[in-house]
Amino acid sequence: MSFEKLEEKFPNLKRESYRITSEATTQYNCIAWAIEKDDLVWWPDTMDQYSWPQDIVREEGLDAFISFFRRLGYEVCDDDLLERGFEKIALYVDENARGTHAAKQLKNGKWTSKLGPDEDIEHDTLIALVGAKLGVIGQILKCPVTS
Amino acid sequence: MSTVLEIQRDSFEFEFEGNLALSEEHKKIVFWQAEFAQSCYSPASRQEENIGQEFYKLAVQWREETRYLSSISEISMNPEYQKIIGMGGEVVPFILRELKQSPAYWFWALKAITRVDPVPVQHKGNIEKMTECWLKWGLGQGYVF
Repeated sequence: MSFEKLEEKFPNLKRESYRITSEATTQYNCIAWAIEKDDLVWWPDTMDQYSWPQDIVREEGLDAFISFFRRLGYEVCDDDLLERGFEKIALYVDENARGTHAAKQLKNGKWTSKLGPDEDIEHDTLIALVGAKLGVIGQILKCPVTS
Repeated sequence: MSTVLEIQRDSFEFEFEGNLALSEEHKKIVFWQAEFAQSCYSPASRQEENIGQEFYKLAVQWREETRYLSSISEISMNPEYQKIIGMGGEVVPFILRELKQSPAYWFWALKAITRVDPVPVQHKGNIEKMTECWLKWGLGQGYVF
């Protein structure tokens, strides 16, 4: 991966530290990575090509993604702060409130993101990926974790 | 601006002569054109060769424009991707060849063009399995890739 290319697409990355944590692969996407899977592409595409629970509406609105993560024990929350006993996921949306990306918080408070069919990266803040490509942060969710 | 391209068959290295400043993407297009020319798939006609060149040009642009995107819809509604779909059935063997060499999100295009979906529900989202299904379908249809 070219760091220049990455920073060209995500200009906010230039202002903080980040690192690339995998090679590029199409085998999994951001949703899969957020639920710690690396063997499927999860997305509610209207051509029915990719994985999506049959009983969750197959559309890209934020609510559908929230429903997806609720199924796994997540609930909406108000902030992206590291919170003991919880793990958090951030959903990004475009200007039409359609889901564009999911990032997962790590135990050190930083975030990990699978960037489409490309690499994973670890980034300090959610703002790092805000911009033209992925939009803005639409909702943060949290789930209690057992130690 | 002139380009003299020599391909060394064993190493696929290029020598560019002349005063050139080719972008990385342009080099990729040239590489794929050269590889296509040398591959076992010999274009039966000038038209086929043109289709191949057009496909690879659009594919490179698509790949660049959808880099880092997660939204399958955005990836598939990309104008270059849509132009590939618009090329119709003649582009299918090129997509299958590309899929065989480098699995990517070509499934929307294949389904849209062929109007079939050989991937069973249990394999949806499994890129490896989906690729296998489409390549098997392609061979069954007599495509050479």
